[in-house]
Amino acid sequence: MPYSRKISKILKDLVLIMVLIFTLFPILWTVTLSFKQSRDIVKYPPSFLFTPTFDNYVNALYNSPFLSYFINSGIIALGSTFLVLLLAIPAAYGIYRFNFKLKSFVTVFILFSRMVLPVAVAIPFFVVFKELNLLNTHISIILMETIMLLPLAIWLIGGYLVMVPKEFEEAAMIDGTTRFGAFLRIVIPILITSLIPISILTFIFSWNDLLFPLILSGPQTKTLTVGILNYIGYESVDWGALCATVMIASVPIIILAVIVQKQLIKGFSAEVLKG
Amino acid sequence: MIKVLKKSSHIIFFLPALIFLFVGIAYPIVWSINNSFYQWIIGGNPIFVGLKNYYDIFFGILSKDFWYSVYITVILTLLTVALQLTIGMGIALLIYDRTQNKIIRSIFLLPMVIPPVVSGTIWGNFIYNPSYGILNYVLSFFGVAPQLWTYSSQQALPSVIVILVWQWTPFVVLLLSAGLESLPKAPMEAAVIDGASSWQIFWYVKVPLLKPVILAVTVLRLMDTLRAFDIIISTTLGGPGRATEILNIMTYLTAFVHFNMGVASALGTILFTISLAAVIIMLYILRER
Repeated sequence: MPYSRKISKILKDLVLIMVLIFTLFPILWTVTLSFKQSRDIVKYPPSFLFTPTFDNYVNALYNSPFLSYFINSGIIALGSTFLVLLLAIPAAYGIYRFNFKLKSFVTVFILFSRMVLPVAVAIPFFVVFKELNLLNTHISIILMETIMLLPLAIWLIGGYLVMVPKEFEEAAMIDGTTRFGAFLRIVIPILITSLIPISILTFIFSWNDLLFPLILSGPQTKTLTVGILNYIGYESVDWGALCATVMIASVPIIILAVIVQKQLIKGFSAEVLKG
Repeated sequence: MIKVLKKSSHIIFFLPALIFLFVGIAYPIVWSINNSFYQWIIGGNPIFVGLKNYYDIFFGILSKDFWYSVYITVILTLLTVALQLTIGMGIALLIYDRTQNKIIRSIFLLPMVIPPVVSGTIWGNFIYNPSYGILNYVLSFFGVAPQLWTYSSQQALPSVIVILVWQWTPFVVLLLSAGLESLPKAPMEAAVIDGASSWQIFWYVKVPLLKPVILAVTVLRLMDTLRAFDIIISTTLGGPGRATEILNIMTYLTAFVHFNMGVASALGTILFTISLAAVIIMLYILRER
């Protein structure tokens, strides 16, 4: 018995190691490629011994508009995260803290908004923004990201709110604070730690989005994701710079994810596990 | 007056967000339904054609493309989610109660946080690429002849599914392993005492206890797979031919490549209907809980 158990444990470890290699390999392979010369990247069979070069990163950062793409991605992700939080925190409080007539209608509507396909929303707003002359602006993309990410944020914050006891606010209100004052001084400070995973999740989803920037951005507002996609379309691609750009687009997110790993996993799982 | 204001203060808290969402979601629905009755290419003038767009999509000139897209969408969605769930469950059981859990989890976090357009680029250009991709090189050691992968109309769909499985199975793993850890220990200990095999414990004790989590993850993954856009656009653009053109992509191409806004509005209306159906299913599941 112990012998067969040992074998099964070794087998399990082996499978797990293979799964981890499969998971990591595409990313590590691209890291390797990003330090190769462009002509070595497209060489077949691939070379595993090469002198690493930083040219690709230098090219990506200085000789192409990728720095401005990076800034645009940042502006849009920060802007939509800010707007989502600004709207979602009071909304979650108003919906999940009180009982009112249309409560179930409001929550179902929010769930529906979460399930909507972005492309179906993009068509009307493309026409609207075109008529309002808002194409090629940051604000149009920020507004669309906010529409798509707001339902998730309200839903998640609501989940945390349910766990905060009402008594704190009630005590403050008996002491003469208004409802709004209690919200600002009692509820928000209690919520603040749970807002971290939600903000990061919103930031990541907005930074990673392709559809809305692709449709709404112009030369001045292109994001990294659109930049990467356009890159592939070119006839003669500078593969090295593409690899470097792909890394530059992912690294901030990966660093963010590693730093707040525990919070992030909480954020990802809260949607499903809270109920 | 002040009393009414005080009583309805909750409305003031959620009204801004609700108005925002209402404009953002309800307006597009009304707009799409309205414009789906028009023949309208951007730049031209809309002409009222009644239900013609729907007739074209379901039975007329577009029906072949549409039903093929429906078929591709169903295959891609079901296969992707089935693979994500079974592989995800397998890995979740594998890492259950492991001491190295923290490192393993941070590795699994990587694919799901990088931009999907990046994973499409990595897989499409550096792994699948028929002339210098690493996959054909690795397979050559096993005597497999070079394959075309995303450039082949038979292999494109499975190739895209593999990317989707790679990127999002970790999400399923994280949720299911969190779910497994939150299970009460008593039923499993009782089953062990009663002499149940580990397979029996999994199938008759763990799965039923996890059912709510599994169902919720399934609905979420189905909806997110239906939205798959970045990975397909960055690898196959819906091709070769129409081999990977799911409904989402068909709608995008109709609206933003062919600028056929009338048909695109009709397709958008169909997509909204699908979302509505998903919500009804989700509510049903939540009620069951």
